[in-house]
Amino acid sequence: MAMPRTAAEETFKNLMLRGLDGDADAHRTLLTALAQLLHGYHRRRLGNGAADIEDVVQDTLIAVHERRHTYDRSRPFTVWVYAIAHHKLIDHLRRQRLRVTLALDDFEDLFEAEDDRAARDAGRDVDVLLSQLPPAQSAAIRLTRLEGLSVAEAAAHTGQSESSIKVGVHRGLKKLAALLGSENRSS
Amino acid sequence: MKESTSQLINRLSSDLAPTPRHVLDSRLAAALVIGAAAAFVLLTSSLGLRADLSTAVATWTLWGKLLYAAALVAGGYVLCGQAARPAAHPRWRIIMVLLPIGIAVIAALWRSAVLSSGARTTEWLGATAAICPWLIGLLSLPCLLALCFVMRRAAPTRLRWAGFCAGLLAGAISMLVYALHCPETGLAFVASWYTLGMCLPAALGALMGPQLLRWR
Repeated sequence: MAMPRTAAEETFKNLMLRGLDGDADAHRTLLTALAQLLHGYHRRRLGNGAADIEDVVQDTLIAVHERRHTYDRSRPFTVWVYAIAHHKLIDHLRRQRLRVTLALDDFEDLFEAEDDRAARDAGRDVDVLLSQLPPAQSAAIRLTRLEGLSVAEAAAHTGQSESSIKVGVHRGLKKLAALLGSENRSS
Repeated sequence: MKESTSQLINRLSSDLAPTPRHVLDSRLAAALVIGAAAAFVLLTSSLGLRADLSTAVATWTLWGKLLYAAALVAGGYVLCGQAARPAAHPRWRIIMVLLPIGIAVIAALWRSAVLSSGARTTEWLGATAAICPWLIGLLSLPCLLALCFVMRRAAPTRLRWAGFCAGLLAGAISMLVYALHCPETGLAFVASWYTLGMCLPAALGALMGPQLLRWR
């Protein structure tokens, strides 16, 4: 069940303000809740199997903590934290010299539950389909076909060899076609 | 062994000190004061104040220059405060800087329209048009550095824009200091060459922003 965005805003902002005033417990609660959301956010963009998700999550948490003085108390907290998460993700990808173009999507995305989003947005059906594949295959397809990386870049990113990326894409697409076919027949 | 996320969170939230409300604003203001002081020292130790400063304080031209520069400082300060924070800030706020410039340019055109063509040339070019923008640009550099220092520790997400804003503010403060040296009296001179002088550090800031303001 997704938390309505206004409720999320209120809860998180409240924790943030208490943390800014020196309440360590509120700050810990905030960072813990954010860690979970950030994990989902970064995983959806780096691919399910990516080994570096936790690194980016930690980098983002550190940035949120160290730069909390840049939060303007009169503005929405969700917008602020989304901008930092997006910046850290871009920075991470850039450091890996991956030429990835990420869509600057709506900040609300960070605060929605996954089932909710998939149901609302038909485009996200791809996520559902890919999740039915083995992680290596879904990552190969996601990186080369959705994020627009070359095979070599995708190989460097996942640590797989180039040929296993190619094989992963081939087999994954074949399996997806089969899945789609069976879905169409059954409906 | 690598730190787990929960260990990291515990480390970050132990010994949590309260964050004062206007930290970022006061840091920007401190950078501004340091930059202005450095520009003033540079100016007095090389070019000197204008010789007729004691009589010039009674003229509207000096105060007009100072007022123009102060308006630009105010606009640039607001822009910097926003650009140093993450999330998208509407860029139309640049109007806070464009408005004083627009008023100065219109006033300058208005005034030069009634002058004879000889007087008009003096009004626009004065005697120091060729060096004025460069001096303003040079004097702005300490302030630009100080502002970049503060911004790097903040969280700008549009680095080119943030650099541009820092340059504008540094240029405006430098303009304020330079007015104490500059003997020119033309309104059109100020509207054109002073403004150009401020644009130099702004362009530098926009050019170097992605390198200077990158944070991790």
